[in-house]
Amino acid sequence: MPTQVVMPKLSPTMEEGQLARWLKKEGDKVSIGEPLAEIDTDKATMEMQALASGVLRKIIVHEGESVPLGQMIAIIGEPDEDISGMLDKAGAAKPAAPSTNDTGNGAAAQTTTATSAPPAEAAENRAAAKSEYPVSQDLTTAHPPAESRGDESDGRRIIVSPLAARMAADAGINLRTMQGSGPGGRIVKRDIESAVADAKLSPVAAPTTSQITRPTAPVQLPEIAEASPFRDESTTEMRRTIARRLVTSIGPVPHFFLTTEIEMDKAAEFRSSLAQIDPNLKVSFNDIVIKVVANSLIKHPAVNASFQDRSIRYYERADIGVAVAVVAMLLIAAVYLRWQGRVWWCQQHDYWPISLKVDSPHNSIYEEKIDGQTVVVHRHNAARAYPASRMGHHPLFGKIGQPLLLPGTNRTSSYLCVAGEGARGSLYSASHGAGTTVKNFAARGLSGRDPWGRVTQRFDYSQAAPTEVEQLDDRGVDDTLGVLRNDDIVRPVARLRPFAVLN
Amino acid sequence: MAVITMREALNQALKEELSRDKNVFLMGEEVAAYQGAYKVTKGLLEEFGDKRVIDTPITELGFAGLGVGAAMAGLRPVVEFMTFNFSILATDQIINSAAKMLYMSGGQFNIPIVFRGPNGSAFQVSSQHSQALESWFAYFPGLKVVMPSTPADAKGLLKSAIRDDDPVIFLEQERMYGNKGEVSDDPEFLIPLGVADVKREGKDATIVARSLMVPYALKAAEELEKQGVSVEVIDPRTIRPLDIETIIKSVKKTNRVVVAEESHPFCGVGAEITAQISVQAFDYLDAPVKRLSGEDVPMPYAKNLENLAIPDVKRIIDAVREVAYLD
Repeated sequence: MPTQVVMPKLSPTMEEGQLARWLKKEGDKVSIGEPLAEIDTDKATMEMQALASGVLRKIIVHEGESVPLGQMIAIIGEPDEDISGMLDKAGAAKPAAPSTNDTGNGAAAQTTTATSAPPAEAAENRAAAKSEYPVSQDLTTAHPPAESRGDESDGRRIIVSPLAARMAADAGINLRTMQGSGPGGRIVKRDIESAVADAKLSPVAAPTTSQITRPTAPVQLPEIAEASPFRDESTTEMRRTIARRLVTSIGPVPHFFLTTEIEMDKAAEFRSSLAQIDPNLKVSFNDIVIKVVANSLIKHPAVNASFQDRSIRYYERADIGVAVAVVAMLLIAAVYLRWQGRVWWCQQHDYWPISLKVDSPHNSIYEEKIDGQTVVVHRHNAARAYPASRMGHHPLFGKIGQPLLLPGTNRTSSYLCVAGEGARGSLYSASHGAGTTVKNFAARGLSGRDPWGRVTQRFDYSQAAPTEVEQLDDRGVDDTLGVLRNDDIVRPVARLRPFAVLN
Repeated sequence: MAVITMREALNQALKEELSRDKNVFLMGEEVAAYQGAYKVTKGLLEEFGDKRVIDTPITELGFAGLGVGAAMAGLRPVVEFMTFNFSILATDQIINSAAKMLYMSGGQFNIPIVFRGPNGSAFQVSSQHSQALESWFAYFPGLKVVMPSTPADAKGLLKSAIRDDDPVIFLEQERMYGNKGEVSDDPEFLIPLGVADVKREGKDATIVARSLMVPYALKAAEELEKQGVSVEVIDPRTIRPLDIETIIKSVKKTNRVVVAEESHPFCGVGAEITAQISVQAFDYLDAPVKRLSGEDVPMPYAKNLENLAIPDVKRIIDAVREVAYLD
């Protein structure tokens, strides 16, 4: 009975592995526990051991190819054992036509001792291995995936028809997340239609995409220098993961920075006392800091939490990531420079991090004094709006009231406001946004495309190039603002029109 | 309305215009006594006499020049080329005189002339007699180029061509002279030049076809309908001026296009249509425009090879399925 060798899980976060190097070739004897191949995971290059003894009969995934966990990458068996059934299995996801030869070829390779596979067969097997990779297998039947697909899941060039690209932009669909059903994986109209239907994402203010025309009015875009010429260099799984995680870490985690000075004399004493207990025990200051941070996180669960879109998740364990400097860490600078050319606040402040201007959380619980009584106010989908009379302690807000943001959407303006005295009537709360009204207005035809034809450059964490999204007029957000303003809950101070957003 | 052949429809158009305007006259090889190589001028010599229906010597350059001169002098000649393959000899008069005269005379001389005859492949007449020359004439500013695909279009367009004050190249198709269709007998039945016709409405793909390819495209559309594909068939009818708006409108609706033509692909009319679509409807395309042209070889004589050299119904169906991503 031949044994399949599958892509193993070599790190807790590994989703796919790249075959770095085969340490055995077809026909070589292998025994259990012997190193078989080197696998490039998202963390490091790891050695993979054989889990069966016999002869390495067939290499299915070749060096440099990436496959998801669990996919068959090779077959180990007796030298004369029939492996055609297993080869069929490897080719199961493959187009119908060539698979008939596959068994034949496989059988031939098996009788003539499995030295090195003939090139055609190798290519077929490569195709077989790849075709299991894209999510929608049936789509690969008619056309082999484009050369770049599968190998570089993130760096791949998106192939999309002009119509589909426009429909995706209108519907706010990220093309990176899609598999195309056209030749070479081209994303075509029907793919967008089914994505829209699946996600029930009806394109705002655009019930029938075929009616949409480009705005004819001159588009008022801020001065953005033309994109720089570039070259792409392929990276290892590890570098890709570092880059992805770094970008992600800036995103969903709200950042703010506090500084304080700490006398470390006691820590130094503690460290030398440890050395006296056991000279082999190497404890660095860094280790001590990590331990202290871990203790603090457990002690202050409010800090050991993350925002989950609709909830805040509190962790019971303190997981701390430590960045270790390797050559690849240069990527931090690369990420920063990429943004610098695109996002205005980076150009205005030549230092990092950014400075916080307004922060208005819209899900909060505070103990507050209202009319002399202490009450707990839970604002869910509402922002706190303290007028000047309640901000007496603050040098500025005590005069003007607390600032808060009335966000529109990526496609409309937002308003920077200050709270008015009328907010007392709403338990000092204001709307946290106008998104629903904006959508309703668009859906009911009360609002349409931005009359100046402005667009938002929508950046995605996983994507260097932005997509362009047509903006809407401000009727929806203005309506929301009007209600708040009439009751003096807020007073608008500045209108913010997005030209680039990071989603 | 009566059901007649395209040959009869053309004959009616000539007859009606000869009766309507005494300045209209016909000339060409065998148009009078023999009543036309394809009998398009049947009965006209008898009815209008030898001053209005004139047999010429076998000298295309000569009688084309004669026609241009007559047009400058105020007559409205209709010059028949036995086939348009022979017009190649007359191209100096057509291109250098007829097409340029209005411009070079500063607007003093209109050239109201029609050059007509069969264009494209026939039945096994080989390389020199099977050529589709529309892109030649459409290339030059100053010429109008018309290609009817139905008897009604043939009649209405030929009458408009004769009444037009500019030189018109009127391209018929030998394989289509016997095609039948309903034709109005109203002497004022005119189809304006420069207006495309939607021969069939559909929503999944557009076939832009002209002349011989129109009936093929319609048959393909019928077959595709059974396969659940709704195809729109646009016949531009006039190549110059081209009614690109109608084509673009259709592309914006269907997002996929096949341009079918009998002529060679390189620098062909299909190439021009494709280019204009890519400029004017780029954002509406869901697939690259598919051009289905005659093969890029001289027309073979052998019947089986001749059939392979020009698009047929099956290849049109395959092309539509390709742009609609069905295969």
